Amino acid sequence: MNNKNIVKALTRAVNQAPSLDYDALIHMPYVKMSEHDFVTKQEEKPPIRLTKGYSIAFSFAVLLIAFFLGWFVPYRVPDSTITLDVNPSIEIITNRHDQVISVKALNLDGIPIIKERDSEKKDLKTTVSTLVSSIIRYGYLSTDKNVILVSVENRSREKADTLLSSLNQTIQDSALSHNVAVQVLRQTISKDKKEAKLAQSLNISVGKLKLIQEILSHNSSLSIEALASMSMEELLAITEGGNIVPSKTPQNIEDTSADISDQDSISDHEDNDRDDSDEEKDEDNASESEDQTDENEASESRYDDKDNHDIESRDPEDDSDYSKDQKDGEHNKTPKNDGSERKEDSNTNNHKDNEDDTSSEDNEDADHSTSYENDDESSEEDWDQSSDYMDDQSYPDSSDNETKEVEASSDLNDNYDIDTSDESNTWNNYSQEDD
Amino acid sequence: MLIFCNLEDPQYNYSGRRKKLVIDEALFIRIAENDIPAFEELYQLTERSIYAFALSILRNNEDALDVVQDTYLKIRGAAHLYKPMGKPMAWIFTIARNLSMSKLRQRSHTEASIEEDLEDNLSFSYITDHEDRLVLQSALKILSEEERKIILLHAISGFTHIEIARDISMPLSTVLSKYHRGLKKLRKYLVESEVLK
Repeated sequence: MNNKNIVKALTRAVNQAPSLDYDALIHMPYVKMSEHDFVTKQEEKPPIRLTKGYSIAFSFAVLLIAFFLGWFVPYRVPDSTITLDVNPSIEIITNRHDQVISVKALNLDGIPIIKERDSEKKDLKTTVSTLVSSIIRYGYLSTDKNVILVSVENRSREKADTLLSSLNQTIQDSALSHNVAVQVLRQTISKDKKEAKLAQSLNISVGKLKLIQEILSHNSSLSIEALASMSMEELLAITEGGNIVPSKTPQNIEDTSADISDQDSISDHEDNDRDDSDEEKDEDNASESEDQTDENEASESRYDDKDNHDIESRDPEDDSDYSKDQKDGEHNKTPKNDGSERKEDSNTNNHKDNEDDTSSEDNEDADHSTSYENDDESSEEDWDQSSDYMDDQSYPDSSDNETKEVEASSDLNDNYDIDTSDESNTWNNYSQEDD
Repeated sequence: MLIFCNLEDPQYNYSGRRKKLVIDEALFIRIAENDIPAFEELYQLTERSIYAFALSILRNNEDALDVVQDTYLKIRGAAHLYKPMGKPMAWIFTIARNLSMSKLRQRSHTEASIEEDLEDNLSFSYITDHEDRLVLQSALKILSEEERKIILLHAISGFTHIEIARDISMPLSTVLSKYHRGLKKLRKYLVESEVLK
């Protein structure tokens, strides 16, 4: 006998029991109560639905949080921003696992490049290889023009450096597969809202912007718009030649939002403020080296150890600039004609001593940040000056703000082992002349 | 009280399957207005379920019928006081439980008498099938009050375990546990009894 049969037996047994006579029942007298007694009193409990609803909502919230922390944060939150600049500017955003979240063209030239990429593939190396191959196929990179700037932004300087080294190798390998030897300029950059905004308005990457800023800090005869339209090859030529003006006339780039990317815009990513702790990590920032060709050859041997050399001097006329301090952790900027890598580095306006080269050691050991990032107020002022510069093609008036900018450039020069006092005096003199 | 036997079972159709019990709370409003057809509808739907419920507590046919009658009289007298809470059967079972408890307290018979009644085949002589009678007697004898209540309600009223849990204010897990344990206990007893006999 199973349960089902037992239940059926019980059902039959109970149903066979005699029931009430309904007719007699309805004629029975009953007492119409004025209020509930202990027999009929209803139990007043809070509605279960409300509690159930809250429970469901709470469970759903817990699931959402678990999903967010378990999947979204490690796989969808941007961790690194990598930009490739040749003439096309391409921005790649990766998560903390170095998987590609989005690929975005920052100018019109970059649009056809990113279209050739397989959006399904998330591997960073594969993505960069594909992009470099596309850039070469479109003719932006060749034996004649072989300069590419790689900029990496990450909260962790170590990770940024590691990524740079890895990407450098990837780019070299990809270019060599097309029989093109490239010069890879490398730099680590930090987040800065204003710079990001300015870069976006010029349809260039922040990395390229920093290069341009370095050029402008030493050669104010060019306009930022003109430099923004130039390729890396031309910008490098300017830095190498000093006063060499590129033959290519600047093109008017339409202010289009070339935001053809796999994901949404990274504006949120760009708008993130840096932590103060990041200042300690921002010793290496984007800046432009103004190495001369002969100096490059002279310094070539010194850059075999790529990770332990200071950024070279920018001033082409100052040979003493190359008696640099070689410190660990600094990036190189020496280009090699055989397509070897060059690293760039930038330093900040944390400059404290303009006097001698030895101060560069202190500066290198000190906490550096990008020249416009350490002090928001000063950054803002600097940008005001920059905007003045862009509008008037003239230097701002002598002021504390100007001094800060001078100090910033002097600071950079210190890292490049330049006689900063001369540099700053030159700056001041030039600015005064324009007043 | 006059109790007239009525062997009709309005809850069962000719096929013998249980009909799903669905009570509309609006019936109480109509009953409060002395709407006889509404009361008759309520009676037809709930009479066997209330009897099974009372039987599970009192374990005696006559006492269970008394409680059923008093329950309907209470419903007629308090229908105008009923507050809709979405559980009309829960209110009916509350009335039946309170009346059953009062009956237990008033009972002049001792527990031993009840046990003797359960052993006595005459108490359930209206059950024609010997095996069915044995099963019912065994269930009333060896199962706990809650196990009897849950098993008989599920068997007679067609309520789901969720509905039973809601109407007798018991957690669903408890209802399920007691239901299955009770049936297991009863099956084991029946097997052993048959074996012994």
